[in-house]
Amino acid sequence: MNAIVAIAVPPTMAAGIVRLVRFELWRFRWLALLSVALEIARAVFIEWAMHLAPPVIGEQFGGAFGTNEVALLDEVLWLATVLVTAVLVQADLPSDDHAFWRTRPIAPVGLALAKLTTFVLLFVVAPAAINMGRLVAYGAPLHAVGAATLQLAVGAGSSVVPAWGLAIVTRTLLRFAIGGVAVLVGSQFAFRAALYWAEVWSGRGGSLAAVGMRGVLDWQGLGVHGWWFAAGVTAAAAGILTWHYEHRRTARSTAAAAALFVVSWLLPGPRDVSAPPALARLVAERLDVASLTLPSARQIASGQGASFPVPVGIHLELPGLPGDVSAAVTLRHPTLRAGGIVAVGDGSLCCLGNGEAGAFASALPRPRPTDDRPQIHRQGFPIAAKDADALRERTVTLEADAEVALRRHRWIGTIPLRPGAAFRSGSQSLEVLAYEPTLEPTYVALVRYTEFPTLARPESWWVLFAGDLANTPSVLSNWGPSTPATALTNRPSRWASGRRWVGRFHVVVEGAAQLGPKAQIYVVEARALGAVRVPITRPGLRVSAPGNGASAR
Amino acid sequence: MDYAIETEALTCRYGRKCAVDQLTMHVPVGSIYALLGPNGAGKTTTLKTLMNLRPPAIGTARVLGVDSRSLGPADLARIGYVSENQRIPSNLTIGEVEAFCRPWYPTWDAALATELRDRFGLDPRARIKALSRGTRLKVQCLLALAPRPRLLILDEPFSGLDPVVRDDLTTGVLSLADRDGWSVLLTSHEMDDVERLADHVGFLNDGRLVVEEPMAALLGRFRRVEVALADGAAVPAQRPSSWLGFAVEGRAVRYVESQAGPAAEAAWHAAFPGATIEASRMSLREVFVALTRSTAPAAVPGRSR
Repeated sequence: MNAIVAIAVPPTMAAGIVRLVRFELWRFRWLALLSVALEIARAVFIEWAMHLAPPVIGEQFGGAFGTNEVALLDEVLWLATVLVTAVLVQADLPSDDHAFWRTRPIAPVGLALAKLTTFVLLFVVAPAAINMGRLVAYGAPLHAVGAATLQLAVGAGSSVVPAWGLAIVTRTLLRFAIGGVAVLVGSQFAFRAALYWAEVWSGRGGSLAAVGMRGVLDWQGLGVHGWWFAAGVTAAAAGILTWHYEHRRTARSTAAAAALFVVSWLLPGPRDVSAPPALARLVAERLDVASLTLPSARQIASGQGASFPVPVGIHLELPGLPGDVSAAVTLRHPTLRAGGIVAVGDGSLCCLGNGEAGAFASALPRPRPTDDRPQIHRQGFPIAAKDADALRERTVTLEADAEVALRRHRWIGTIPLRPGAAFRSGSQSLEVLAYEPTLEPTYVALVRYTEFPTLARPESWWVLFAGDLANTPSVLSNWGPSTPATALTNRPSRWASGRRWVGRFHVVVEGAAQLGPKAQIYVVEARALGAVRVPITRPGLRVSAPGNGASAR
Repeated sequence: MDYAIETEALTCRYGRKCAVDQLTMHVPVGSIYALLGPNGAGKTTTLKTLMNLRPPAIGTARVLGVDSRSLGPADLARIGYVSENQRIPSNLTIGEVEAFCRPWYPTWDAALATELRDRFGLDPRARIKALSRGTRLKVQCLLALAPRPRLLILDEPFSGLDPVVRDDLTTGVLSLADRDGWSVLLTSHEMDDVERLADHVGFLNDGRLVVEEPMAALLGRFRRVEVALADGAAVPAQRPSSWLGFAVEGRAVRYVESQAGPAAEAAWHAAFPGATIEASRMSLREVFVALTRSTAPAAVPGRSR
């Protein structure tokens, strides 16, 4: 007689993970609800601020109302993410020999993957679903929704993964909090110390400062390599943590994490796109240094220049640059040689050319030709104070690698400067919500600006100008404090990413009282054209210094 | 497979301290094996190593034929583990914990779980954090027994429990182990319960296994010997190593014979000619005390137990 024997089968890894995730969500239901509730509160608040908040709040014109509040909510969300991560991780530590799960038929890797899945559900899927609803309501294309989701994942990973690691090491919530504060404060101290000593020893503190604290803490390599790379590094880091549950050797996991961090840091970033040949040739042939200046000895002694390091003013010339093109120059390791003296510093200079103002001028009904003169720019780079004293009034040779980033500016549209007017181009849109005098003759336009997230490197941005169809008065803009219309954004950035892609902004219009009733907003697009590297060797430059009390600039 | 558990030169360290030293032990299949020893002897460390909660420094341990370091979910599904140190998620109810555990065990016996819950008087709606220590141990026993494991590992399951709870647990474990032929490894300081439950004993002292044998054999070879010396008789200067805790008070000599039998009896009479000699059986508690005193590293100054 054949007997049918029922063979009980333990759950598969996938089924086990699903069970564990359901258990985690039930076990920590209040924390899960808190996370989701915060996310919903943020979405509700920002939509209220964008569409329902009055332009005047209290006695102030509303302006960027919602921006600071949402930033605060983002901080709260970050804190909640980190704490929820710590609580969930420390509830079932991988090497806790009192842990309930470790004597149950639960695979360590399964538990780690369940934790990871729970984090993805709470910190990626839930926010992405809410964000997707908002993006679709704003008319965002599908690829923007996808980009925002990936960005949310990278953003969540940037805090969840380190918090996970720290939670394992510290084992209790109190020690986690103390450890977290210690890491944040310690890294600040370490960075500032590194800045100081880099400056003292090599005069290259500027290079480190340019990277910034955020750059140092960018363990995902987002700033240099972009979103996909950051997502890959995040997945690899999560893999290391999952693997840790299997072998439970802290030294091994730490070594793997350090290796990942070093690779992410040392891997060279993508090369800048080369500038068009004609422009590259122009830059190579005509970029020149006109003069160098130093602050006076009195300025250095009296405080302004005494602060370490001393700025060397450099006068660059780039004649013949087209009217719609501007150039930003970064001097890599500029070196001044005079006799036995060698001074080295780093510096970024901005900007040569008419830039946005040129494009705006050409958009006016009666375009006004831009001057050919302002192809000169005077900014500086820092050198050590002892070198500055030695170089004063001497003739030096300047050697540097100049990296010239070129931008083309184009007028892309005009909208009336009145409430309700809107403009959209590609993934960006602008809507005027209100236009009020604040302190005449200064007016403030309140605009809602939307930029749908993208995974591409930011290559274009908008600059706004105010003008008048009657061309009275003709408003021209240049860089500097007298800019009549404040730029909405003045550099390519990753402002739009993840949850953040719409905001309410002030646009200050100085001298607006002189504009007629048909005032317009001119939208000028700046687009990166690529970069040129030019070695500079300029002998016979005299380092001039003004007399005591005079300004270096 | 003759042994549910076997270790070979198992050594466990906490930093530089050696908690378990060259432990070679064998738990026969179907036996109830009590691992005894004073506090700090290395019992809990041994059990943790067997459950792969700690890695061994040297040596191997095989549990149900599997290297302890390779114990996977399928192996753990056949092992029930109870330890007062284990933390059950405290914000859940008994019912929720039971519901969580059930799907992981293909052999989970719902009827047995209900029976145990009733026998232990457990309320499924009670939150773990509101339970007393004894009730938490009952919950652990329920979770360990309901899957009908082939091996049960109990780390101090009776410590600090009142007699009624202890009786509930011993009755539950004993009846089920007997009924299903489970192998049981337990550590405990409750010698009466151990004597009632166990059929094999291992004695661990200072990380080393001093004794390992069936309970009956152990109790059979230990005798408390009391000698009333004859007038003028002297205490022998040379004594067999099987005499433990040798003490002289006036004309009375007391010691523990650890190798009782006809040969030992002959040795007593030869050592104390004309003396009145009485030998009595010892309880496990008395054997434990005698073994602990005789194997303690008394030479270490300042060490007390």
